[in-house]
Amino acid sequence: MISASGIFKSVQGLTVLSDVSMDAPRGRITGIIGPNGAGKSTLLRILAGFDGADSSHVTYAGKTFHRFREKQSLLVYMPEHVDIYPEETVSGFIRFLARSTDYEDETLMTRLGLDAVMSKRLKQLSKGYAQRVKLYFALAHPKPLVLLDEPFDGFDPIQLMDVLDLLREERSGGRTFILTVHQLHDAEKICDHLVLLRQGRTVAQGSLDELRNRFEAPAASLEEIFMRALR
Amino acid sequence: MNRFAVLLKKEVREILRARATPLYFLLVSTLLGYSFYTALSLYSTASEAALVSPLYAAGFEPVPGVFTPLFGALFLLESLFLPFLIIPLLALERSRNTLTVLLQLPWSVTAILGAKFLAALLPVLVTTAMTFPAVALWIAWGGHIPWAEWLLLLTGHFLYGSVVVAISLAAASLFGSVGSASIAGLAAIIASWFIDFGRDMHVAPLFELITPWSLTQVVRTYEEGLLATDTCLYLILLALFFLLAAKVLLDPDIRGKGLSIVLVFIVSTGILAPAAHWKWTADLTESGRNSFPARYQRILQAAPDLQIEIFLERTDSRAKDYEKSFLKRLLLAVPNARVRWMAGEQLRDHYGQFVYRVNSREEMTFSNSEEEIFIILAALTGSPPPALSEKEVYPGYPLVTSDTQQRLALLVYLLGVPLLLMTLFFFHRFERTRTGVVHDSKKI
Repeated sequence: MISASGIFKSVQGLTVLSDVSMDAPRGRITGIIGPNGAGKSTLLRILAGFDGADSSHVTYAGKTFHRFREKQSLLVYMPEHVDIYPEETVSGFIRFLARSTDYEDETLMTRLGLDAVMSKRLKQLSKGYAQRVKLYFALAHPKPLVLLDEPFDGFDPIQLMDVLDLLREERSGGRTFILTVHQLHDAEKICDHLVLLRQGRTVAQGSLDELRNRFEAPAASLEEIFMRALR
Repeated sequence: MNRFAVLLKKEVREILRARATPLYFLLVSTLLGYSFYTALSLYSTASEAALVSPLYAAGFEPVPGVFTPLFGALFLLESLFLPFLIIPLLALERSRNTLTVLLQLPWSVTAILGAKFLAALLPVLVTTAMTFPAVALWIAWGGHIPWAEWLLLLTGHFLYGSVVVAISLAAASLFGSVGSASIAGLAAIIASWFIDFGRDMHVAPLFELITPWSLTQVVRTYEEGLLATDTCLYLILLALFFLLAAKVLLDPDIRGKGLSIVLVFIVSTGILAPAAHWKWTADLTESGRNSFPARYQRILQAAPDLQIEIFLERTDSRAKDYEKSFLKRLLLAVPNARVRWMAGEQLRDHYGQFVYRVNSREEMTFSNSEEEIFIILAALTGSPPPALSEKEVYPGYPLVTSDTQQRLALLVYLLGVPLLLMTLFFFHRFERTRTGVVHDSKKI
């Protein structure tokens, strides 16, 4: 779905990404993992078109897009830190989305458990519910590519199971996901394809089994592979 | 509802929901009240003498006497407080990252900025409308309103408000945080005051060059009752420049942002420069205080190549008086007149002289009296000497108001207008609650 190579990005003379390459196969969930400051969020913003790279070659479904709007016709992106209109109610925000896009998904609303908090202002929501509203925004639009920056932050284990199931269902429906995840056990549960970043460089990528083979650790967990990759 | 209307409605709600909005309106109402009360009181006291002497009455013009101070208060608040109301509209979208959400909905950066700009004009419109009770009271008490002059004042302040809004949005686009953007926006707006100060203090010749384009000077032309194409175009272009700069800063597709802003600036200047050269000015004052009487205009028509040499320091009070009461009007009537402020040894040797030159004939005088000057100009152009015509005398509109009326004016602004606004705010919130915008949990 996305094939990126030669991504370079520096900010105020500091190299953030250096020759990053990655693929996100169609209909799969790709996880970008790496320690803090590895450049995961920057990479996601560049793929979404919100940041420009110093140089890059990225194809979306085999096509090269140069304009922001062209990319937006294909993908939806939800950043990690977004404080959606705190004074607005959940119903008000969802209505705003529906009126502006003509899309609304009552099943998704119910699936995310938003029915219970419709009259609440967004600033009154717990972190988990705020994350669900963000997920609603990302999933309500029928776009084939979904980019989520740290989507599992703030969920308790039960909520997390629900959300993981939801993403699996969406994947079965043919959607492609690219997630940045810092909790490796979460990434191991959900991601079909992994991209390991360290200090702005791609260390390795592939399925968990492919990474196990590469690092010669047939029974290793993602955390163990990650530690080996960082050494 | 079309999609742009959805966005515009959201922005209007953001403005109305902000806690600073009613506070700003309350502040405007209070200051308008005190300005109106003070202007009324002064105008009334002076009018008592004018009712006895018709000649003295000619100096009583309602717009400069009462309504310009009213709009002066509005100008002050628009300059100092309006940016704090507008900047959060965009800066919060940036700091909360909701701009990322908006940009993924079907609106371009231009549409988002356009909706924010239009919504931000709402406080400008409301505060402009807050001057209407003063007009109503003035008319009710038998006062006269020169409508063309009044509408020009209204237009000038609306255009100024639009520029303040555009500057605020550009500042919010440049800085993500509300604090930094507010400081930058305020600095850009009050830079005009520093330009005027620099010019008055003769700090550098640059100030002389740019002073006519300081916002305070441009707004002053409207307060003086002058409708000029160049100032209209300047304010519109300035607002457009800042809006385009904001677009450049926010548009993810535009990479070379600094260069693009410079390009927008060059294009704006390129449009303004010829417009400033081919300007057209109309004096909309009822008294014609920016123009010369017809008997003088006839003389000036015979002197299109008029040259004036002034042997005075510009800081000299005579020079200031001459510039303000004569030269300004002369340059409106004869835009091609050449004026030279003499310097150096020549200035020392001929200090105090004014030399007028028409068709290679010249005459020198030490007088800066209008009557004297036109006798000289008539002689130079071969025109008959100017004669006073009774028809040309402006009658003036003195108005004496009682203490009770003045106190009522104050009461209207300190109590009536705030109560009206509070009622409107209450009904707006009530209506939203009643129709389920806030508390309807099922309807989507």
